Amino acid sequence: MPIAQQQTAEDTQTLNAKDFRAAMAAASARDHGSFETHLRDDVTFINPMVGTVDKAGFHKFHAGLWAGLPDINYRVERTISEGNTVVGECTITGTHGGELAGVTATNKPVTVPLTFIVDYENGKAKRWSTYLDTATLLRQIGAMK
Amino acid sequence: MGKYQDASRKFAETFNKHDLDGLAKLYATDAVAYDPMYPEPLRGRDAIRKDTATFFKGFPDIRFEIITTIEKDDRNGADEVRMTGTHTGPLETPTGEELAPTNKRLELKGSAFVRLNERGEIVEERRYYDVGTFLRQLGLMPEQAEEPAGAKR
Repeated sequence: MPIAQQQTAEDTQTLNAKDFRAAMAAASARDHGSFETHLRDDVTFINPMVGTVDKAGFHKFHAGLWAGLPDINYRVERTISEGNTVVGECTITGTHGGELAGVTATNKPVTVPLTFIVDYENGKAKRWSTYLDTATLLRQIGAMK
Repeated sequence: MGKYQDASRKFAETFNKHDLDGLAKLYATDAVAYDPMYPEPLRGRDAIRKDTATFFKGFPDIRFEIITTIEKDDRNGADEVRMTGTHTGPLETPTGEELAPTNKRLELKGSAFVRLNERGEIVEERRYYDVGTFLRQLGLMPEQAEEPAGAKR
């Protein structure tokens, strides 16, 4: 392989972390098309709010979430990248301006800390796992005490 | 294997022995743990030990498995983990109430960002998992209560 085409493990880690931040920026812009350029077609999305779904399910989940929080923002607090995995510690903020979790808009502010663990393959996400506390979210929109 | 990975492995081994004293010693005396189960962080080794003791009492067969460890450097990393166990003992809730055994099986995945000090002790642990899933598995919260509109399978 020509030297110019060689990519070290460190390069891969850096590129994956950069890609993760770009994906989060696209999600903050609620831009499905841009966000999904960061996903492989066979991506698996795992989230306690929907279980395990494919790329179409991921899109549908985002459509519902972004309708419920129309000004959603994903703030990346920190990332750790090793091998083909990126762990991102993030905070989601937004206003409950649309139906979410079956709850009509309350216009309450929402702040939810969460982590994403993303496995990459050839520069795109193959597994996207989300760890968050849905009870925190439900309490903030008044759906749970 | 780096020092952070060593520390993660030791944590899992000690946890799975249900060695409370050994586990407590893996934390600095002034360690802070952020846990979604509690409205305020657990501050200090003793508070973290008490939380773990509560969990061991409620789930006497609890097991801790590391799925993935991502090491930033010797003192910083993150782990993706799985906890499995059966709720066969009384479980004290953060509000001080005691929850009678439900005999329900728990299988809960989560993640944690961890920072170690120069002695390899945990000084900060930020835990991420779904309390909603925890409650649902114990039959304490209805199924699909939190599923968002437009995301049904």
